[in-house]
Amino acid sequence: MSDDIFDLEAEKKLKKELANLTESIEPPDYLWDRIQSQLQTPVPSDMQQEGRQNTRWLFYGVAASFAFAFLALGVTVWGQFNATTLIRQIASADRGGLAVTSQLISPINLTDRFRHVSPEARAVVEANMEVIQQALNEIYAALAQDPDNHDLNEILQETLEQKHRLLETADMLSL
Amino acid sequence: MTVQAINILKEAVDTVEQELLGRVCQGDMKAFELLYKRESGRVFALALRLMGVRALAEELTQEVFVLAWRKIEQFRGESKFSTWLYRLTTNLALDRLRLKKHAFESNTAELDESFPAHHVDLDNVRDIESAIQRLPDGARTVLVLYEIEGHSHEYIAESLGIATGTSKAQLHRAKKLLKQWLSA
Repeated sequence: MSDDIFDLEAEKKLKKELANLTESIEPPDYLWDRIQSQLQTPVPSDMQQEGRQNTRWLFYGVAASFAFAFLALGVTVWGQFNATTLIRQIASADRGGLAVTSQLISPINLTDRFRHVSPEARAVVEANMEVIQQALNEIYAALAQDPDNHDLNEILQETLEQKHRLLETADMLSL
Repeated sequence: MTVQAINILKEAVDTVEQELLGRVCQGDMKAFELLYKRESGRVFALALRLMGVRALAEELTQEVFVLAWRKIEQFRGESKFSTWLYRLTTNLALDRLRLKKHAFESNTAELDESFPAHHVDLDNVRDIESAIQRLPDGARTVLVLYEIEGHSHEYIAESLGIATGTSKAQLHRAKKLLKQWLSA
């Protein structure tokens, strides 16, 4: 009975908290600059000419860069997490699917935690983030010319997923 | 404020929006920046709650506005521009989250075991906002779509490609975890 009353009170409190959530959270100031810069990115001419054929190569390029990224990350931060985790990462990268282990899936908050990552590991993550961002910019530019291209949309999904994994890996390193 | 005054204000806001949208259709970036300043807070709030990670919310917000600029001619004015933007935000977020379909499956008992309370650093759960961000993906997504955005379990299940029962189980899990954390 007392559990029911507690649950009812907790439910009421939660409902009230949810109802009072702010409607708006301001994004960081730099976000508009990023958007504007992306909108002004010219579409590479070779990508326009070669069309669909080129998209496959772009995918393999991005995938390869990630295989390298994960291996490099493993080597650089060897001392920071155990060998089993690293072996799993390498095995995942070898399979080409870059499947993430369950250890990598956890809620993260980079702004709060990234400062605890060693400078070496941080440099690797940031360098690879640049590679991903460059790939994303090129994909967005190609999509602007051919928004319904199935291959490009697939590559966009893959690349965003890989970015997510890299962020999660960064978070794991910071624990 | 009288009803008449409110209506006049609404009309003025709509007129400004129409003016800005017209200019955006002609490629006016400054007008688009003004629309961004007006709507980005709500888009970012939704993105942050759905994705649970600030960096991903920034990425999603960026993609929403880039797509909005490129597909502005597809906005037919049948709904408010803000409604169109939020639908775009939700759809893009769900596209990302569908990739993590495993996060939505399993029954509630398994879910509770797989995400014990000690998994979360309770010192960092300062308020309901940070508590939501720390929920597991499946639970957080369903909570935001159901409790905050007001969608039905049927809509959520169809959008995420999961069973309606799974959506309900994830909501139960989310609320149970939030109650635990907020009362700790």
